Amino acid sequence: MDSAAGATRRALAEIRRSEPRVLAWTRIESDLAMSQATAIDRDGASGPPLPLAGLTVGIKDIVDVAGMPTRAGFAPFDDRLATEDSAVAAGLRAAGATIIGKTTTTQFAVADPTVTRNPWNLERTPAGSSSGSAAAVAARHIDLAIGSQTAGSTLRPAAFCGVVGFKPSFGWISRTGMIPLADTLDTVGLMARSVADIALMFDALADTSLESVGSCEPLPPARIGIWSDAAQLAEPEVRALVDSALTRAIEAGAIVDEARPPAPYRDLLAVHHITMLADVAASHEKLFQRHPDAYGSRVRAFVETGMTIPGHTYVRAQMLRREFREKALADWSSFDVVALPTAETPAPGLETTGSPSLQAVVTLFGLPSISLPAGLSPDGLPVGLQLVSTTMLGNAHLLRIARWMEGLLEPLPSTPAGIAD
Amino acid sequence: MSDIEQTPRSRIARRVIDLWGHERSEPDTGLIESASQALARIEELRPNAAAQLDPADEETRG
Repeated sequence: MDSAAGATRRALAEIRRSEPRVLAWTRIESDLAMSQATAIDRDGASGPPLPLAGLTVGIKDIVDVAGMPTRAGFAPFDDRLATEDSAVAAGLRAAGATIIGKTTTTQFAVADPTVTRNPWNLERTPAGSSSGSAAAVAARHIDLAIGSQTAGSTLRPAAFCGVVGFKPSFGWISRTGMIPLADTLDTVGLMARSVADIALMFDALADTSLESVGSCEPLPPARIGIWSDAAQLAEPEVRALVDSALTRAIEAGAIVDEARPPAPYRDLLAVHHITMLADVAASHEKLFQRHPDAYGSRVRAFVETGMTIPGHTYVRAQMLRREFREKALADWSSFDVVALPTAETPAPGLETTGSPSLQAVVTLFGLPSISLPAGLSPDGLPVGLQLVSTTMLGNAHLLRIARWMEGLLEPLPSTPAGIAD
Repeated sequence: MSDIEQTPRSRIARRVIDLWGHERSEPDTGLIESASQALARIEELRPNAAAQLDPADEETRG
């Protein structure tokens, strides 16, 4: 593996080369990063190697890093300096990763687009809300990135930008030091260019006494379920690439069969929608009342509308949430994973961050899910294959199967077309 | 009734206006519409549990 100092110098050179076009960062701490990398190399020479030594990381700008502001895309937070590391930043540092800086986020991780461009086509969105994290990993600025997911904010940016995105089980990685959006949904998300790097990050941040990925040896799945009524929402060009990936899995020995949906997909989306609206209002009501004009239109709409959700409807939505999740876990128990497209389309234009529909229900259930680059659309845009764990404790199992599946897929070109010159 | 009270999204739109004194959420996102549809669907899927116990409830009797 590279020395930390060498990896950091290369990261900073890549940032200098393409950041003016990609706009993935809110803050780059070159000097701090070089100091940290030098210390990692020095400590590594005299002690046991750290698991993330030689890997560079960017942190979504809703997550605290000591000494840097956490702005969340919200002007009143411009001078909100973090005095302590979040649990995630502390975990990454302890594991030897070099923190390069903070990556862009849609305001409060909702849906008002950022300035960030998709490295595969600079006129397309990188998605959101973890826009800068996905774009920076895709542009080879960094090896690893931290995002978050409340509906689809890690997996969809990963899919649109052609990188691997992982949402662990709800609650599996600490949210301490992360600005809240929706209490029963917010999950720390991980991004990298390989499943192996995701596994290293997971073991560094999760409680490994409960579950450890270890060396993440590829594991062929016996049975893969297909979530057909979700998949049918996707455009034909997306379905073709997902079907092609699953055909490879069949040729490699997996049995692929229909997974019974726990409910019609639109009903599942209704439960997520009501849950997120009310959760967002609960988190943001007071701050919104103090700074209404600083809120972006989409976050504002979430807070204003969320405040109108009756309590009894929210409770009913949570009853349905439990019922549907239990049904899914029972019906899917014969499968190792369930597969569906990560998003309905490849990256659309810059006026939107795309649709979270195909990622949101898995977030509602709290199940682990991962997006792998499945190929390029006819327009040269990445498409994601989503694999979902069929158990709440299935992070390690899912990552091992994802590593096996990754080996069946054609790697994307190493340099995204939008920054290839 | 005003136009807004007659539209499918009337319940939430009315509440937004009552709560915030304006209809600011409307122009950009269609969120009121989607929230109204989601609310209606939740109510259809999970009717009031106690009402189902009422012998006078024709839907659950027999």
